[in-house]
Amino acid sequence: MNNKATSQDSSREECLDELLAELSDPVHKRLIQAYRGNDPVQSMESELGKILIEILHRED
Amino acid sequence: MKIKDITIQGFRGFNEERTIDFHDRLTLIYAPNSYGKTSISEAFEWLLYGITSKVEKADSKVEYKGSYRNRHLSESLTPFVKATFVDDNGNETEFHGDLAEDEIIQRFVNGQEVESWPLAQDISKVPKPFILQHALKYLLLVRPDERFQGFAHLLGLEKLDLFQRNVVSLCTKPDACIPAEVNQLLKNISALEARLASQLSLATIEKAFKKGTADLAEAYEAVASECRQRVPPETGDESVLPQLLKIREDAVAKIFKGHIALPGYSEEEKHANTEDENFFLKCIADPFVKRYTELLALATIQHILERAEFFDLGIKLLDKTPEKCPFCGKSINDSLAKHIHDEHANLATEKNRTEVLQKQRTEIMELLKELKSRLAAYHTRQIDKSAQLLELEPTLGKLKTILVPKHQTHFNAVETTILELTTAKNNLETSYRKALEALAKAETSVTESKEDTALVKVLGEALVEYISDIRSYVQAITGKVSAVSDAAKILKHELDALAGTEDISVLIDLLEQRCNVEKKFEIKGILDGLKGLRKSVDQYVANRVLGAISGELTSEVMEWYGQIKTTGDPDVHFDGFDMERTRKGELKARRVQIKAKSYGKELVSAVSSLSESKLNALGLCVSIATNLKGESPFDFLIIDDPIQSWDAEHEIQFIEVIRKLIERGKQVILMSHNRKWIDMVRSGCCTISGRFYEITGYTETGPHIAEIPWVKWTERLKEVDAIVKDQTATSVKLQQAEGEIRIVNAELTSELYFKIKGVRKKPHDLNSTKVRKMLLECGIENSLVDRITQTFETTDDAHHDPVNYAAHRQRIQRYYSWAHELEKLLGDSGSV
Repeated sequence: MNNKATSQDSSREECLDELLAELSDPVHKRLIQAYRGNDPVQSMESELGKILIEILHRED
Repeated sequence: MKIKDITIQGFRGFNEERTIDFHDRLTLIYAPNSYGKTSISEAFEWLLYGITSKVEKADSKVEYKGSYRNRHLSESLTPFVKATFVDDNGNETEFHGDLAEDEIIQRFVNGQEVESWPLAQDISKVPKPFILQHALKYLLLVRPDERFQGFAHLLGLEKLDLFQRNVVSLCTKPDACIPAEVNQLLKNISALEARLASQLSLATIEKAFKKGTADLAEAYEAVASECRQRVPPETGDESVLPQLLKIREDAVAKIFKGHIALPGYSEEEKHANTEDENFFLKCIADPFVKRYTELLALATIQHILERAEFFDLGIKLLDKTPEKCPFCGKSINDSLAKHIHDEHANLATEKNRTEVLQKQRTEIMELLKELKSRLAAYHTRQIDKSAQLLELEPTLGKLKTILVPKHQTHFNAVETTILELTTAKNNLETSYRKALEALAKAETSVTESKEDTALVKVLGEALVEYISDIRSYVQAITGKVSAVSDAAKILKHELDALAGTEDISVLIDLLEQRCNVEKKFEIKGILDGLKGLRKSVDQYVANRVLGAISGELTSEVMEWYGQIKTTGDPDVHFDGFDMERTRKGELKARRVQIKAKSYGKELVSAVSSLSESKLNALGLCVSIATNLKGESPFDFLIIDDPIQSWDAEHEIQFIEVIRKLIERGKQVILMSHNRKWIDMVRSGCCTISGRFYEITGYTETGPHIAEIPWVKWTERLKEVDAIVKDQTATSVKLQQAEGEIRIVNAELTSELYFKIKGVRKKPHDLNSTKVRKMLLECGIENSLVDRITQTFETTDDAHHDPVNYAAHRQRIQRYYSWAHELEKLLGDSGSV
């Protein structure tokens, strides 16, 4: 069971690392980085919400 | 790992328990259609993956619900599939899967329950060791996106496929991730932009805004320029906005004075309200009532204090003449003197208690004072909330002429709100007055030392009623805030339209909302930028898939495809894999291209150009190539009905493919409904040892499976004879001949034993010891038994040749003649 999880994780990490190296937009990087979470979709979606809220609450 | 055997009970077409033993190189299973052949491959799939591809791909899972369990299986039995797998070192492991509740597989390894199979590789990432007709359909003859998924699945890139789909989903539909308050900002600024667009005089600004974030500064320069044209020339920069506000206010006031406003409760205000209400309730709680009641004792203590003063004076005088009373002169004995002093001490204690109660009275007074003060502040706060709106009540008639009939709903909202809030406010004022009156009476009772428990009770009731009214009032306001706010916007726009100040109003809002406008543009920029992220991910994934399909996979599929291709085939063939591209040469997302050529000319697509039989061949080749590619724990391949829609020539070509798979180390389990072809495979692979099963019938108990000898021993002996006589035969050929003799001897022994003892023993399981024992039991003379047993000396019990093995023609000739002797004993009746 552990072997399975580790193997899947390492392959995913590898792909994400490669893609991150190709991206330049910091927002895009944050979203892809969030995909590393245990619940990737939820984690990516909530990261987008967080980014937008940060802009909304930013004091200029 | 290879498969030694499989046992199936109650699964799909299998009811009663059946076991099938597999040869480690080739096993053929023939069955007419619907005899349970495919149930065998499904049993393997389910055992390994917990789901069959048929169910996995089904459009309607409901239709397949409950389809694993055989309907005829006894209620008391659990459906199961178990298989024995053998690794490279000959170690056996039993995988057992019980069909548990909700069609979940319950796994056991050598009898011990496990969560997952103990395999070195993650089997979800390696190609499934199955080539199934219905699966090929899902690979080629499907929509491009499904084909892409099929290839990702075959290439072990499912996680990448899932990742891409998830990112695309987020990038194309991000709305669900936008927080409500961000959405509100976007909505507000969009409404402002719509108003801007409606003002022809502000077209320059609108044009600048349309350029987006990069030119926002330019847009605001245009705003400043337009503002300047509407204020007196001498106006300083900092006064532009106040000046615009004044111009608008003056113009609008000529039409209507007053504002529709009903502010909601902020989080801070809600918190403050809760704090105050808790304080009010604490004031009338039990500890307060107890302390208030204790003050009642002060009244009865008063006369004690007067007595104490009298006593104090008497004691002072008594100190001077202790032997007689200072008032009447009567003599005082010791006993009387003690009594007087004790009485005085008791009075002192009472006096102290009085002081405590007086302090308590002061505290209660202060508490009631604070209650009064906080109650007043709290009440004012609540009343102020609706004050501005309720002030509009006398002007409702005028408001109606402005809003009705165009905005009847909004007017009604305002009118209803005013009506409801007036009632709520009146109730509130009444209960507030009652609370104040009760509070005043309680205060007076304390001040005048006329405490009365009933007064505290009335105060408590009044405060509870007041808080209840407050809550109704707050609820009424909260429920109307949104509708009133919408009406306020409408009124503002109508007044601007009537006063001719729409452009000024837009300019005011643009100035006041500048920060929010900038935020909106930034947020829009991020949301629009998700398209860029999607493109980056699409290109990345497309490149990864291209790398996987275009190089090695293409050449390997080509190689296998070449095996099936016949010389008589028209030159219209598969020509490799690629990813579709745009005109600019960029890779299209999720578009696997299957190329084809016709006599050197490129065709649009193999899917639309190749015949069904060629597509079928291509699908098989893709599955074979991916199965042989990369690391996989499986050294077997289960092929179910591969030759559908093929002509005889292609069928024969595919036998060569099977031979090559076996040569590459794969254990092949081949199933077909075509008896003629399966016999051809058996004959084409006769030099390869194998097992052959025929499903001879099917009843509700399940399929009837019979094992048939791989090759007739007469044919085997003929083959051996030919090899021995061939002086050019290589040592490999001679070794093969020696192996054939052993198979013949095992089969002859099995047949003799069945004829004489009536018990059938599987020839495949026999070794020298078992053969000797069986032949002796059959009464065969010792010298022949010794000779037959000797034919097994150049092999071990696992049917492998010893390390120092060498093929000798003379020895093999001797073995051949002994096998003939054994055959004669069987006579004509023993032939198969």
